[in-house]
Amino acid sequence: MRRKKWISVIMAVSLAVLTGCSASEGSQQKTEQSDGEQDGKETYTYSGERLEIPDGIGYISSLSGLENGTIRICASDESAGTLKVWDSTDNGAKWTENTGIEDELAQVTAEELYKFSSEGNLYTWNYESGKADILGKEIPILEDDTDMCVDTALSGDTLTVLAMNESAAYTLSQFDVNSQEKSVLENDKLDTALDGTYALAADADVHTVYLAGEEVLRYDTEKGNVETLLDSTALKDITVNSMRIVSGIAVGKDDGIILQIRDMEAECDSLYLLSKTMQTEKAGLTVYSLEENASLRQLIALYKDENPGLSVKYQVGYTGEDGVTVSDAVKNLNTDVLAGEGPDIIVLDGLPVEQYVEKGMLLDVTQLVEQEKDGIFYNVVETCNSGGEIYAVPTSFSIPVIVGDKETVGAGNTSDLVEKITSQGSGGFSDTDFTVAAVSLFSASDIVGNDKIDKDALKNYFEDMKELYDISLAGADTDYLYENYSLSEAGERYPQLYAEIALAICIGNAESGISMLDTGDVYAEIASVSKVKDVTYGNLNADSGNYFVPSGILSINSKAEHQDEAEAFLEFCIGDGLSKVETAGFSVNRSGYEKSMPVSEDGAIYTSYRIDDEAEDGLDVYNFTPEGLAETEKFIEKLDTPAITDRTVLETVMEQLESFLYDGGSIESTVEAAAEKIELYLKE
Amino acid sequence: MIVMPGNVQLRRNRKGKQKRRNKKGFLFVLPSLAGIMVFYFLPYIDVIRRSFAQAASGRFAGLDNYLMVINNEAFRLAFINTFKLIAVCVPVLTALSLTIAVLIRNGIDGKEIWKKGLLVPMAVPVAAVVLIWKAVFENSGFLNGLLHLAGGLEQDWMSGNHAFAVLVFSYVWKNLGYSIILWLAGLSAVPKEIYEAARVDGAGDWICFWKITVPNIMSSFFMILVLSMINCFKVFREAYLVAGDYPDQSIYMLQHLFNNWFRDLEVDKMSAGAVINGVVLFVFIWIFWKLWERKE
Repeated sequence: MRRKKWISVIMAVSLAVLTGCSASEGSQQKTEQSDGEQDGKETYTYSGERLEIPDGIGYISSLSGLENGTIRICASDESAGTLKVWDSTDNGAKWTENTGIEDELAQVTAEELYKFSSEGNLYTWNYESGKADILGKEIPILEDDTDMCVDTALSGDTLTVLAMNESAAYTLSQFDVNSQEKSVLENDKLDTALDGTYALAADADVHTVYLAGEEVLRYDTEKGNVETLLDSTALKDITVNSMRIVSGIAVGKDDGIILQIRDMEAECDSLYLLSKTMQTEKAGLTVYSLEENASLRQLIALYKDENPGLSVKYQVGYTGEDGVTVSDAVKNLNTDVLAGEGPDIIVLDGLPVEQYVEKGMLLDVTQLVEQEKDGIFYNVVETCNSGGEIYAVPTSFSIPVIVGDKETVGAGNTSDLVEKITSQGSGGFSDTDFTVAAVSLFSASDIVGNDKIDKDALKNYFEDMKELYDISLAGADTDYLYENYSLSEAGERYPQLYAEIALAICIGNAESGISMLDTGDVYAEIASVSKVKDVTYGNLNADSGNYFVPSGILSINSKAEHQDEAEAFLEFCIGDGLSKVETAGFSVNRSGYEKSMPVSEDGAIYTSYRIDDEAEDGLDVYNFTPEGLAETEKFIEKLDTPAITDRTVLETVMEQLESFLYDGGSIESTVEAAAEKIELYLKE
Repeated sequence: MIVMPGNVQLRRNRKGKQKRRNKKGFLFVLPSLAGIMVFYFLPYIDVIRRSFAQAASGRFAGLDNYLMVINNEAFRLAFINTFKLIAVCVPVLTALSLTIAVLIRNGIDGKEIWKKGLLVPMAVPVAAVVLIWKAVFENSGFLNGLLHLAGGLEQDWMSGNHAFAVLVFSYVWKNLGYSIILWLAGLSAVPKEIYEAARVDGAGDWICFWKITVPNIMSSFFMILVLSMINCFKVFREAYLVAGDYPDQSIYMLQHLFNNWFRDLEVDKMSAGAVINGVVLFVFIWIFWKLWERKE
C-alpha cells in the first residue's frame, strides 16, 4: 500500500514537472509574441512583389525617396533616348510622369551621377573628380583621387556619402552643405556592416541611414546602432544569382523600402518592395534543400511573382558557414519531420531518398506528374522512382557521355573502353579530364546494387583506372594532383564537373574523352566536333544502361502543413517554372530544355574557341538545326538508368582510388577498404 | 489502555525512526528521481512502444522490428564490437585504476601530482582529444614519425586491431583519473584499525589487500563497474569525430549505427535496437547487483 503511495507521488511529481515544462514553454512563446507586439519591433520582408515600372525602361539611372514618401525614378526612355522622371506616391504601385525636370536633367554630363534630395531637388556628383554639385555649390566629397564615390543621399543640408578607397575599404561620411564640414561616421559595427554595400538612402532627419548590398541595413547615426533589416539569405530571394546585384535603395511611404536590382545579363533594372511587418508573421510554404540551389531560388522568386502575397520560405540545411555538418543537417531535418514541423517541399539531393519513400515520408505525386507528362522528359522522372509510383521529381539532369571514334564510343563497359583508349596510343586524358572520367565511369556503372557491392567489378574498376592513370598522368606530381585534381573532391562535386574534351579533340590533343552533357553549350560543342573530326558520342557504359545523373529532385512532405500549396508549387515547377529558369543540368521540362539549346534554322556557327588569339586551329561551335535538336531529344528519351549519386558511396570509392593511384597502395587493400565501408553502409 | 512490554515499545520506536529517516532520504532523492523519470524513463517507455510499431504508419508490428534488427549484420557487428570494447576496457580500467589508487593511498612519492595529473584528461574537451588523436595516430602523425626514426615500418593506426587498441587506450586514458578518485574514496572508508590489527597478527601487504581491502571496497567496485560500462558508450564521440559515420569495422559501435539510422529515419530499427541494448545492459547490471548483494 505504502509502495503504491510512493509510486503515485513520483508519478505526480513527474507529471507536474512535465506540465511545468510545457506551461513555461507556452508562456515563453506568448511572451515573445506579446513582446513583439508591445515593442512594435519590426522586420522587413519581401512579399514576392516585383514592382511594375513604366514601359520602355531599361536601366534606371537614379532612384530617390522624397520626404513626403514619394519614390522618384529617373531613366532613359528606350524609344526616345531621353531622360525622363516618374514619381510614385504609393510605393511603386503606380507611376506618374513628372514633366518639369527634363531641362535640368539635360544639363547632366556623362561623367556625372545624379539623385534627388529629400525635398525633390536634383543634385549631381562627379565620380571622377569627386565633387558634388548641390544647388550650384561645389563640394569636394572625396579625400583622395583614388577614392570612389559609391552612392550619396541628400537630406536637407546634409549630404551622406558612401565612398570606397583603393583597397576596397568603405567609409560613410556626412557633409554640411553650407559649411562644407565633414564628419566621418565611424564605429566598429558600421565598419563591418559597410563591407559589400553598394547603395544608400537617408531619412529626412538624416539620423537614419539605409544601406544595401549583401544585406539591407539601417544605421542610427546618433545611437551608433546597426540593424539588419533583411539578411543575406533573405535578400537572395530577390537577387537570386550573382549576376543580379543591388544598385539602389530608397525609403517610401510607411517606411517601405524600394530596392533597385540590376541584372547584368538581361541588362535591365527592376524594383522590389520590402514591407515592414511584425516579427511574429509566419511563413507560408517552406522549401528545404540540403545545399544552396540557385535554380530553386529562381523558381521560388518566379512563383512569388506569379502569386503575390504568398510567402515562400527557403531553408538551406548545410551552408558550410557554420559548424553544422551535412550529417547534422540531415539529422536536423529528420528531427523536424518526426516532430511534424518539417518543410512542405523537400529537395532530395544528398538525402536518403529510398528510406524517405519507404517510411512514407513523401507524398505520392504520380497523378500530378502524369498531368504534365507531355511537357517533360517523363522517362527521366519515371526511372528515378521505382514501384510505378512517383515520389521524387528531378528538375534537371546531366548525361555522362563518351566522345570518340565509333569503335571507342561502341565500348559498352569500362574495361573495353580503357583497352581501346590504350590501343590508340594517344597519351590518354589530361588531368582535368581524367578526374571527370574516373568519377563518371564509376557513377555510370552497376558496381553497387541496392544492398550489395560487386567486389570483383570494383577491383576491375580500380585496375582500369590505374591503367588509364598510367597512360594519362604517370609521372605527374602527386602533391599537385592532390591539390588541384583531387578525386575525392570531384566525388563531392559530382556531377558539377567540366571536361574540355571537344576542344582537345578538335585541335588534336586527344582522340577521345569523357564529358558531362549538362548545358546546351556543352552539347553543341560535342556535336560540333563531329563536323571536323571523325568522332561521335554515346552513353557511357551502355551495356548496363543509358545513364543520367538526376538533380534538383523535388518531393512533397506527406505530412506537409501546406500540402495543397506544395502541390501547386510542384506543378508550377515542372510546368511553367522550369521552362523559364536556368537549371544546373538540362531542364526536365521540354520547353526549358529547348530554350537552353542553341538552335537556328541554318545551324550556323554561334561561337568559336581557340587556345590563344593567334591559333588557327580551334573549335567552331554550331547551332543545332531543328532536326538536330529533335535528335538530341531522342537521345534523351532513351535515358533509363539513374547513375550512382550516393554521397557516401561516391566519396568512399574516390577517396580509396585517390590513395591507390596517387599514394600507390595495393589493389587488394584498396578494394577491401572501399568494399568494407560500403558494405557496412548498405547493410544498415 | 494496552500496556506493551518495554522491548516491544523500544523496537517500534526504532522502526519508526528508521522509516522517518528513509522518508527524509527519499525526499532528497526525489528531484533527481523525478528528472530521471521525465527525461529517461518516460521517453524509454515511448521507445519500447515504437519498437513494436511500424515507423511509417505507427501500426502494431509485433516482433518484426526485433527480427529485422537481430538479422541486421551491421547491428550484430556493432553490438559485438561494443560489448568487446566493454569486455576489454572495463577490466583494464578497473584493475589499473585500483592498482594506482592503492599505490597512492600507500604513500607513493608525489601522490598529489598523480591525483591531479590523472584527472587532466577528463577536463580536456573531446574536440581537443580528437586533435591529439589525429596528431598522434594519423599516417603522417607523431607515432609513425617515431617509428620511421627508429627504422620501423609505419602503421595505419586507424584500421584493424590497431584502431581498436587506440580506442581502448583513449578510453582508459580519459577515465583513469575519475576511477582512481572513486577508488580512493572507497579506500579511505576502510578503518585503519583493521589494518593495524592484522599487521599485529603478522599479515603482510598482499594478505591485507585480499582479506581487508577487497572485501571492504565491494560497494565502490560495483559503482565503478557500472560507471565504467556507461562511460564505454561515450568513447563513441572520439571515434566519430576522428573517423566519421563509417570508421574501421573494428571500432564501429552501436552509437555509429544508431546515429546513421537516425540520419536515415529508421526509427523502428533504432527503437528495437535500443530496447535490446537496454535489456542486455540491465541483465548485466542485475547480475552484478545480485553478486554484490550476496557478497554483502
